[in-house]
Amino acid sequence: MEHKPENIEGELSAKELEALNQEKLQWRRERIRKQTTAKIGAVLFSAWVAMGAISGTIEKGAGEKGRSRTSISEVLREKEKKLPLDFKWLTDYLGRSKRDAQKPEAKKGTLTKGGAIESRGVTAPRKEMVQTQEMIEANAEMERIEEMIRQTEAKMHASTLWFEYYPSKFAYRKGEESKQEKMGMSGPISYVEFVQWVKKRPEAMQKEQGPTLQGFELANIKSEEFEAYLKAAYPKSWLQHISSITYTNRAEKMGPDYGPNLQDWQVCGEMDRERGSIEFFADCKDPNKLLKSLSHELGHSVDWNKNKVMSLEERLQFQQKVLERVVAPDRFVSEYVESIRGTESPKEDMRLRAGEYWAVIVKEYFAHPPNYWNGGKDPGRLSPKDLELIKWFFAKTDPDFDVLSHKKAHSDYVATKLSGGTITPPKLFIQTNHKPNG
Amino acid sequence: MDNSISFHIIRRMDERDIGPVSVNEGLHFDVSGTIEEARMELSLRFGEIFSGGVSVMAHGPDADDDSHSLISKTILPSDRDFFPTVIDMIDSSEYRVVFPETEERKQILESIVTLLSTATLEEGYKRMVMEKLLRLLDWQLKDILKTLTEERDVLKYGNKNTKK
Repeated sequence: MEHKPENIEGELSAKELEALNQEKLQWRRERIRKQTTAKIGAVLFSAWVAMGAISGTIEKGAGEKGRSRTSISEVLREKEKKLPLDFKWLTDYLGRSKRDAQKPEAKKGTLTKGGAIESRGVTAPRKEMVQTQEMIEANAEMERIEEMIRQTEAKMHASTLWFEYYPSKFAYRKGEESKQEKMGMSGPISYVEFVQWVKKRPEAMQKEQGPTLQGFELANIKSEEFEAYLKAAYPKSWLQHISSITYTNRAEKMGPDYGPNLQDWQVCGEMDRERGSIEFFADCKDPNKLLKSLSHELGHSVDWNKNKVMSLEERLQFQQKVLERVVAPDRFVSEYVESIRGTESPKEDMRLRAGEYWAVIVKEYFAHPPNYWNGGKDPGRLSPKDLELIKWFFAKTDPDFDVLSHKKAHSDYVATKLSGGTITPPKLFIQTNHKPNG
Repeated sequence: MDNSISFHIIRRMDERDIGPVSVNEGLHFDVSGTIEEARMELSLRFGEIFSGGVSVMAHGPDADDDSHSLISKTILPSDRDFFPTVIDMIDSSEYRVVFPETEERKQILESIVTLLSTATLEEGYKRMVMEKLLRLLDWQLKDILKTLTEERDVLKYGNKNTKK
C-alpha cells in the first residue's frame, strides 16, 4: 500500500500545488454554493421543509446541504420556455436596464484571493457517491414521469397531481441530501425510493362503512334501500372514496366558474373531492334523474385528482389519457362538456373539461353499456377509445367489476323501490363482454 | 408577526391589476379595493382555494421509516409559514400576487438582484428566485438578502470563523 506523507504539499511541484489549490477552491465554492442554495430554499419552501422536519426525514432548515438543480427550478425552466421571464420583467420593474442588472458587481476572480486561505486547513473533499445502474434507471424513469407532467401542464391549468409530485420530490431530495451529509458523502442523489413511491399503490382502504346518507326522504328515497342499492350497483372501491351523500331541497345555479355558457344552468349534484361528499339539489328531486347523476358524481370521486387506489404514476397516466380524449375528433360529445369555455383561461377550460368529460363518459357507460339495450344490438354511444379508457381504469381499480351487475341492481331498485313494481326491468341481458379485461 | 398582509392581485389571463387585497390570519379576504367586476369572481375563487384551510403536502416516512407516503401539515396562523403558504396558494391559481412597492422593498430587491448576478447559485436556481421575488414577503426578502450577503463575504474574505 502506498504511503503518502502528511505534508503532501511539501512534496509537490509548484504546478501540482496550484492544481491542488484549484481543486480545493472548487470544492470550497461548491460547498458555499450548496449552503446558499439550502438557505434560500429554506426561505422559498419553508412550509414544505418544516413539514419534512416534523416527519423526521428532513433535518432542520433545508438540510445543511442542498443541490441547486431542484425540481421546482426545472419546472420553472420549462415554464420559462413558454413564458419567457428572464430578468427583463424584474429589471423593468426596478427601473433598471437589463444590461445593468446582469453586470457583475465584482469579478468572480475575488475567489483567487481566497486561494491563499484555502491552501491549508480546507475541508477535505467529500467522498463522491457512485451512481449505480439502479439510480440511472430511476432517473430515467423519473424523467419519463416528469415529461408526462410537462405534457399535461402544456395543455391544462395546474393539476392537483403537479402539486403532489413536486413538493414530494423536493422533500425527498432534502431528506436524501441530509442523509448524505451525515455520511460525509457528496454527489448524485438516489431517487430509487422516490420512484418506487410514485409507482406504489396506496395501502388497501379498510373502510367498511358506506357513506352516510342525509335528506333523501325529501326526494322520496328511503336511505336504507338506497344504501343497499349503492353497494350492489357500484364498484367496491368507489364507495370508499365517499364519506357522505346528501340531498338538499334547494335550487342551485352553476355560477361563473364553468364559463358564461353554463352560468345559468341548474346544478343537479356536486362532488367535493376534499371532503369526499356528494350533494344533490332540487334539480335532482326526480329519483331517476338523481340516480343518473349519481354515476356522474361518483365518477368525479374516483378521477385522477383524489383516486385512493391508483399509484401517482397511474393517476398521471389516467389524466393524460382523458386529456387526449377530450379533444379527440371521435370524443363523446355532450352539450355540458362542450359548453365549458370562456373561463379565466383556455387551460382552465381544459382542466374543467377533462374532469367533466370523465364523469360524463362514466355516466354514459353505466346508463348505456355497449351491446346491452335493444336486445344487445345497441352498440352504445361511446367510441371504442372511450370504452378502452374505461376498461383500462377498471383493470387498475376494480378488475372484478362487471357493468351488468350495475344494470341488474339498477333495474331491480327502480322497479321495486322507486316505481312500486310498475316498471318491468329489461328482460334481455345478452352481452357478457363488459368485464374490463374481457 | 403581522396579523394581515396586503398585496395586489394580477389576473394571469390578461395581466390586469385587479386591485389591492388583504388577507388576515382568519383567512378573511378584503377585496373591496379591487375592481367591481372582479369582486364576485375573486371571492368565489378565494373561497374555493382556501376551503380546506391552509396546509401543505409533503413526502414523509411511514412508521417503519423505510417506506414513504404523502403527508399533509396544516399551517396555523401563528406559524411563520402561514402567509407565505397563503401567497403560494393564491399564486398557484389564476392570479399573480404583487406586494406594494416601498422604498425599502425596492432597495432590498435591487440588492438581491445585484448579488444574485455574482452568486454561486446555479442559473436555474437563480431564475427560480427571480421568478418568486416579487411575491415574497418582506421578511423572506430580508432573509435572502442576508444569505446572499453572507455568501459574498465568505467568498471574499473566507470563513467567518477564521476571519480576524
